[in-house]
Amino acid sequence: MARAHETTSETVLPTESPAALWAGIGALLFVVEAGAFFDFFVGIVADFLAATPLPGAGLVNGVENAVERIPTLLSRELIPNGGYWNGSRWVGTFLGLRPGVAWGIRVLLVYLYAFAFAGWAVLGYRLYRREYRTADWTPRDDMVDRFRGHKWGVFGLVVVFMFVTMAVFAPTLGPTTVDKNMRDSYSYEINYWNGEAGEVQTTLVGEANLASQSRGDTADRVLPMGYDDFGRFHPFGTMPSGQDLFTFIASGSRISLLIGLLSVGLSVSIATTLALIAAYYKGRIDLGLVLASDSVMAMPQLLLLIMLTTVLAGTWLGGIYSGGFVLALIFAGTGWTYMWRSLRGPALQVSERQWIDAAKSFGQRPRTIMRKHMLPYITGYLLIYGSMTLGGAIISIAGLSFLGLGISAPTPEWGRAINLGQDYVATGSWHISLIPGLLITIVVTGFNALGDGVRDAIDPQSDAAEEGGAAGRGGGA
Amino acid sequence: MTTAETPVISVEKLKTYYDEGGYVRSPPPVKAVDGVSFDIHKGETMGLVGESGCGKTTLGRTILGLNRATDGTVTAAGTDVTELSGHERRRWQRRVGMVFQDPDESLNDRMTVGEIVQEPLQSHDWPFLRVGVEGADAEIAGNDVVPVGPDDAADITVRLHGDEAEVTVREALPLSGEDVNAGVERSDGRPTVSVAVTKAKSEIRRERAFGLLDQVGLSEDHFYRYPHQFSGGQRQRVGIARALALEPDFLVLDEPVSALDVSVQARIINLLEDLQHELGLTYLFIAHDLSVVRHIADRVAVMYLGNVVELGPTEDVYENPAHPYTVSLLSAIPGSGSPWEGGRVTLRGTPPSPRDPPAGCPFATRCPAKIRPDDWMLPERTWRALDELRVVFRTRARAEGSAADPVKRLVGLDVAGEDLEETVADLLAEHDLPAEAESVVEAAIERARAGDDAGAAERLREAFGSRCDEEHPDGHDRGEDWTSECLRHEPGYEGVAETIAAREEDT
Amino acid sequence: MNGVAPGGTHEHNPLLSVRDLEVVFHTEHEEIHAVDGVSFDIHEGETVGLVGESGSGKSVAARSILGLVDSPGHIEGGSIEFRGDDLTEDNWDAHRGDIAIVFQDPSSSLNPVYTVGNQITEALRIHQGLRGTEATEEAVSLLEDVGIPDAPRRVEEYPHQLSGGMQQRAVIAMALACDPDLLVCDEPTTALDVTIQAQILDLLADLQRASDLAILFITHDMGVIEDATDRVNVIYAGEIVERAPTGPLFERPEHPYTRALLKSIPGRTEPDERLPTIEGEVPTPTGPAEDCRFAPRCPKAFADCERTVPEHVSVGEDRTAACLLHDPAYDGGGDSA
Repeated sequence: MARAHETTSETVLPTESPAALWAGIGALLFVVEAGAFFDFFVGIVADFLAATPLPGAGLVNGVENAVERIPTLLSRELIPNGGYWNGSRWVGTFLGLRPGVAWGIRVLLVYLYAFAFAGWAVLGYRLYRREYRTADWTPRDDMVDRFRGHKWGVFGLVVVFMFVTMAVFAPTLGPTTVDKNMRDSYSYEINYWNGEAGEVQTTLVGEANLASQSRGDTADRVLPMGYDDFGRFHPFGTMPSGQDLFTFIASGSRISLLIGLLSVGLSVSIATTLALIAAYYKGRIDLGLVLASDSVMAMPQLLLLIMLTTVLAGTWLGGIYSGGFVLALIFAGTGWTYMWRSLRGPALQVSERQWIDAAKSFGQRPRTIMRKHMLPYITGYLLIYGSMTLGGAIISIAGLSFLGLGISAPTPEWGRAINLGQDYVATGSWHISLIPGLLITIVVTGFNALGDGVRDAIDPQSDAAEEGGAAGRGGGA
Repeated sequence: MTTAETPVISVEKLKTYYDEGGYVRSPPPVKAVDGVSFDIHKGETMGLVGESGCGKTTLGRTILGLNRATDGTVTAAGTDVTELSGHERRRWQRRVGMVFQDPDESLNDRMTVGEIVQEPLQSHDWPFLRVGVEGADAEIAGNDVVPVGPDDAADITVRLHGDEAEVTVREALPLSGEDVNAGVERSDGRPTVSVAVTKAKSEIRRERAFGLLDQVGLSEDHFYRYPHQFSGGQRQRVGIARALALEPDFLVLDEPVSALDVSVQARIINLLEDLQHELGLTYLFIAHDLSVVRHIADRVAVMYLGNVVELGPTEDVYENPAHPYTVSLLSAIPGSGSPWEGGRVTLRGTPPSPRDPPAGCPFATRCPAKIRPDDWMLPERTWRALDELRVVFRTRARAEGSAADPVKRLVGLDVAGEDLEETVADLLAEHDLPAEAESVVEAAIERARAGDDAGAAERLREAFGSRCDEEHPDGHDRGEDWTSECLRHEPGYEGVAETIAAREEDT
Repeated sequence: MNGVAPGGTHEHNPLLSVRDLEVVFHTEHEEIHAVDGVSFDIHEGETVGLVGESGSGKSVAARSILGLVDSPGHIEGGSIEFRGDDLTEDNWDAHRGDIAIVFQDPSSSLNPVYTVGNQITEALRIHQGLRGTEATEEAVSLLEDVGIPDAPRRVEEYPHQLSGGMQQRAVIAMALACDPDLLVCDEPTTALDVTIQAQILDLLADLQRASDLAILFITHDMGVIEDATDRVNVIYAGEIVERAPTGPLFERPEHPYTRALLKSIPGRTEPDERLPTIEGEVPTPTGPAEDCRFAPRCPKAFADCERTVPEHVSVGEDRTAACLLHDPAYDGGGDSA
């Protein structure tokens, strides 16, 4: 590993061996929340395997259970908010604070942690760039610098980051858990202060939910940032079933992100490979791909979706991620065409450049040419279209779930939350549809803003500002 | 320079046509290279000059395998390289390198200079580490080494002294004898030499890259930088280094200095000459700048519309050009640095389209020394006006008419008829044509008015054309190793230089 | 830079008079003085050449005459007087029809979606107020003037249907449509073949004779300069280093840079000799001049060269050079070394 170069003035980290320090900080940060990270990743795999007939499901379940027992710093156990009022003070909440405040603190800490983690990554990049990298300038540097100055893009990045954090830390962020509040609500009990009786009583969570339903203007409804009759705090209020909306949404974000990433990831892989192939070989192959993609585009995506979802409903394939996997496959299978079209142009442009010819002239293999000489130039477009498509995927999934076609109940999903609340939009329980709707808007806007930022960062147009300077530069041997 | 040795490259009647055909109706193919033959001998620089569209770049690319030849052969070391594909073609591309024209475009901006120069090495998994054994017929064993083939030079030579093995490494390789361990085993009489190389191939490649950068006049720390940070001349040096990476014998240089300033150009030319002497390279130097070619080339081939119209030793061609096109080309060089001392012979018009080359001599439409038919005695100026008229019709014949034209014709409207009158009047205004000539012109105009521009051109050709329009000239010997394709070289015709001089006075 | 007046001996006032022009580009990394105190004159009916390598500032100087310098570049000093009017005081619009420019690449000067005739008539409409058939006829006549055969037909064609040489002729026709007094040509033949270049140079000479047009010819090709111009200004790193009538400049270049440049031309060296080269690279001027910018590369440089900015001194009839070797005030100078 290269030693840090001598820097006289500002060092990124004021030590002899910044890399070691940075790595140390990173390890610390990771270990503190390792449980949450593992839980997220293992959970995804476990859910996948659980539905398939593949072997290993049991093993993964075991791993999942083990993982759940790894202690993490910012956990519900350390900063609980699920206590009760015992007449004089709050019992079972963090520092005896009101549940709302305790919850708020936990959420704040989780987000602070997330931003600290991000800051650590940025620190690492700066360290690398300033002190460890041999080249003192690469073409990427200009792009990164441009992105940093792009306010809208940075805003998008922040929104997306917060969304991802919500997805990764969902179990920690909610005021309660999916298990306790939704899936097995009749297996858990809670304590609460019964004002009339003047004493602490116990009830099943499911019963408590029944008494906290938000259906229009009823007295039972719980509005955002409100407490229900059982001393439980609901940051987003409750749903018509009485379940906590925030937990529903946090959990739903996981599946939106996952399916979005899956479908876009697949889409991008297919589109990029085919775009490079079409651009490199041109001629008949390009024509064939154009015909193929046009044919695929001609298929009605929605009908295909309905058909396949229905047909596969009972099968194991349709059971993976509650139908999300099938969704992702269909999106990828029908959506690659648009991305391919968008990437084909830049890829064709790159294929005409002289360095491609030069590589061919010494007999470089086509695959290597595509990877080394063409791919870096379309990566930017890839990021742009990818991020925008991701936003689009999230909206599509939400929309389909709203219609009842997407993720099947009872898996939480934002679109379904909107659906559940649609009858109450004009009433006192307006929050059920509005909040998920707003969130979808913000998140998708965030993705689009990110795409905008990336595009402006790599856009050759921005280089025009550089050209003016180049006009005066000398040229020599 | 006639040598009994086989030439490094032997091009025989090479044709490369581009067929951008659609799938319903293909336009005629672009005849970029239309029957070219020449040899290039070891160690020489063959200059290839011509203007844009003459096919010189396509010719270079076809030799390299970047374009597919339509007909003819390119023979190197006994094989026709136009027929190669896949693995075989890659092997050929190791032995020939190409330097491209635009230093800004021929390097991938996202790779460092070091990566760019090493890429050919990585792609072919260089070095090949060929082992040859002297003093005995032995088997070669080892993980990274291969036995040397009959035509190749050995990278590692092992000399056996009984059971001792003495290792020498080829000088150009950045490897020393200490990095190679050789041992001998004898079994059943036939010895087995096992060779192990302790230096990693990636290390050898790196050192080769440093060596190359040094050879082209760059320094070690340039290895880590990106092309963006260099000037045009330095980038071109990187391109040269890359072309030399795999130790080729033959380099195709496609306008390597055209995009550079004069002072930078001079340095790159000096570098190329030095490299040629140091490494024993053979060059095919393609350029449109005749002064540069004169300086660096031993022999020069002049191309026009896919044909090599003159080919000979540089000094001979420049001092006594045989072909009318060469004369025009040389006379067009501006300034007192020009090798031409006569007056300027300005060509009229533009070269014909390679999709529709003239039958007969390709230069016939613009030749200042074109053979005129004996039937008419007209001054040169009038001949030229008639030539231009023919070109007008030919161009119209090829032009994309608007969709309304056939409709207009049906209805009886005059399609561009008035324009035609005007054009013809302009062209022939000051010329007195004899009555018969006039009637021919009228007949042609009639045909054009009816929409048959091609027919009009044909009519004019029949009447005013000559052998030059019908026969493709053969190559005539003008001296040792010097040919020129012009009908005027046949006995019975006035010489090219004299004709041009006489006609220039006339016009 | 007040040395010897750059105009030479002419009775009339110059058509265009550039004095101490400074154009600076402010980029995020540095400040580039692309044109740093350039002065020259152009008289009616003469062709003046501006020759230099890439990065010398010649194109920027040309564009500033037409007011085409865009940010981050600004004209920060000096004057450009056209018939007495200083253009740098935002007077370009007033003289739009008097000065025209022809650029290097004809295919990017012509709009591919409009016919050639359309583009010429657009210029005619703006500058001469012609419309309709009148304009089209004038366009045809202009195309004929620039030597395009079958002009009535060509006027209806699109730029891609014309060859490179013809496109450049069409661009010249467009430039002539404004009936200019001065034609600025920025590397007009660099992208063209040598035989076509010869045609275009002949054309420009004919046009000049026909309408007493003044031409500013900018190029890096010394051969073209020799053939096409009456007077030459040699520019290096934003400064003019030598001024002379063409013939004398080529016979006897006085500035070391001009000499070295001429020597690097392959045609001037025997084929079996090595080409003489200039060591080093053209500097990018990032500040006002403090020394002779060519000194680091000059074979004849001496101590004062690195401390003083040379001023133009007379080196012959009607010619000047900015070199301390010819400046009698400096040691080591005096006669042509």
